[in-house]
Amino acid sequence: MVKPFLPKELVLRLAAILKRVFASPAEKRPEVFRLGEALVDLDGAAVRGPRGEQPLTAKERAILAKLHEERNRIVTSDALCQAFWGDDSFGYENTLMVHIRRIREKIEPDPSNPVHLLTVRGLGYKLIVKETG
Amino acid sequence: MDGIFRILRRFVAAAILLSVLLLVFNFVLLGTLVFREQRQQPAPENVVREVAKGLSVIDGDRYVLAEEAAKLLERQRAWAMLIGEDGAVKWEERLPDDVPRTYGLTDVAKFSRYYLSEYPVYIWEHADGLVVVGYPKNSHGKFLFNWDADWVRSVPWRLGMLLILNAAVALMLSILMGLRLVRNIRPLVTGVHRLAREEPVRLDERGLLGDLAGSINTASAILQEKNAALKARDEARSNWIAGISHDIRTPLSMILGYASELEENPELPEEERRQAGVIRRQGEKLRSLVSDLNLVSMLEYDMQPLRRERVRLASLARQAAADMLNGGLVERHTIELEPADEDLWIVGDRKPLLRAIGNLLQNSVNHNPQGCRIVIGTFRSGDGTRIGLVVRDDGRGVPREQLAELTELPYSSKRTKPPRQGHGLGLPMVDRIVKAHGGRLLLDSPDGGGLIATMEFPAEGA
Repeated sequence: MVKPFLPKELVLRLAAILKRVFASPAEKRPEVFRLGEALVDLDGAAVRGPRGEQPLTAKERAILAKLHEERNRIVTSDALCQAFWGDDSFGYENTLMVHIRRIREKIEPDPSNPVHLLTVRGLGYKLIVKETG
Repeated sequence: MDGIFRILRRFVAAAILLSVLLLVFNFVLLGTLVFREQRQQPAPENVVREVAKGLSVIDGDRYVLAEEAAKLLERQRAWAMLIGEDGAVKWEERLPDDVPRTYGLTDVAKFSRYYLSEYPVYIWEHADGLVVVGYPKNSHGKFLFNWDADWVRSVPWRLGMLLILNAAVALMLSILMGLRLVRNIRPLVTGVHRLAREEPVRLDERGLLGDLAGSINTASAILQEKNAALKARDEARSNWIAGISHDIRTPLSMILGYASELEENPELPEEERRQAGVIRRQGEKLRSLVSDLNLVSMLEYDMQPLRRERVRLASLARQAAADMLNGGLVERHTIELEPADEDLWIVGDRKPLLRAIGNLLQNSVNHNPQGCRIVIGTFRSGDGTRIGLVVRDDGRGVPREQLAELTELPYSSKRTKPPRQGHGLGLPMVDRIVKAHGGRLLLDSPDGGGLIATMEFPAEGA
């Protein structure tokens, strides 16, 4: 905060942060979440679904974690590439597509018609997570 | 410094041209002024020749001078005589008394070269002896020149050397004078150059060009003073806005904090929680307005520090579009990305640039509540010197005459109409962000409707 500030403001801000962190434990980033019939376990780096348990590679796990962190929001392919390959380099889009395809094979009932991990044409990807699920 | 060498070169060329002209002029004067009298009268040699030709013998020993030759003698107030082979005067015309009537070999040798009884005399041969023409005393000077033959042969060479030496001296003198001049004006020239760069100038005011130096000093002082005043005023304005916005933000945070607490308080009735929500949302609007105002004023007065890094335009466009979509966009509006050149980079600050694109997108959405299709594209100009981003919509567009004032600050004197919607800071902010990155914002609204906003930046390395 920029000085001078009122002590009251600091207290309110702290209260807001604490509320955000502790108010509902469900909102805390879960290491295990459900995508339709599949259960993604980020800690165990594995997907348990209709096709049995399938392990996730490190990259796949990282991509899923990033998408889940920003779940229900569009994550641009640039942001994904930057998160995994560093700096604002480009030319990784095709590699990224391959990883996404592999993830879909593990979490989607029909990998060619995804319902959880959606492509937003021209922009990036979006992971749909039903909060109640 | 280039200018000074040019001056010196011109100066030397002018000096050489001047000396050549002076030389030619001198020759002309020599011919017209100095030797003029000489040419007006017939030369003594010609007179004596005429006399010798005009003297003819009749009856064996009597001589007669032709009338023309006699008149010539008369005009020159000269006298004449014919000395025979024996040394005696055989014929005379107006011969003065103090001139001897007989001559020996020695006498002839003497007067042929010098004077005869102080009369300047000239001789010519005649069939019967020697014709002598004498002029009045002190009317002519006779000089005898003797030259060494080698010397005569070397005269052209010597004259050439003379000219070359003259040219060399003229060149040296002109260079010396030019250098002196340059030494005098060099501080003035550097002073004016520094003045152009708005650097402080302090010149020596003594010397030939002292008053000029004084004027340059005064101009510099005035410029510095004005710049300082201008900067102080901009800073004061910007600080004032920053201070105000800080002072507003502090109580606003408390309003927002309490409002959201009330909004989420389950003990309150639904209606009152809804009202608290209205307070919170309006407060948030106020907060974003204040921070926008602060950002625009910082950009306006060049006080917004930019964190410069290489940024890819396509990545910016995607991020801005994704942010917009994530922020919740009504179905009526669609955002599309034109597949474009991925390898377009600018050096700039990512955050304000994203903000600029976001503002353009928000602008299209706000002004087209009926819905519109927004397209973001990137481009590189034909000559490769400029790159940029284009945000197009197919909405209502803007009347052409209003386009120019869209980037002016709201309530500025340049704006004829108040902003239609929103706080009117959106496009001015985009304009200032683009300008801070060395680019420009171009707005166009074709007749068919829609708005085309182009953010143009100088290409990297161009």
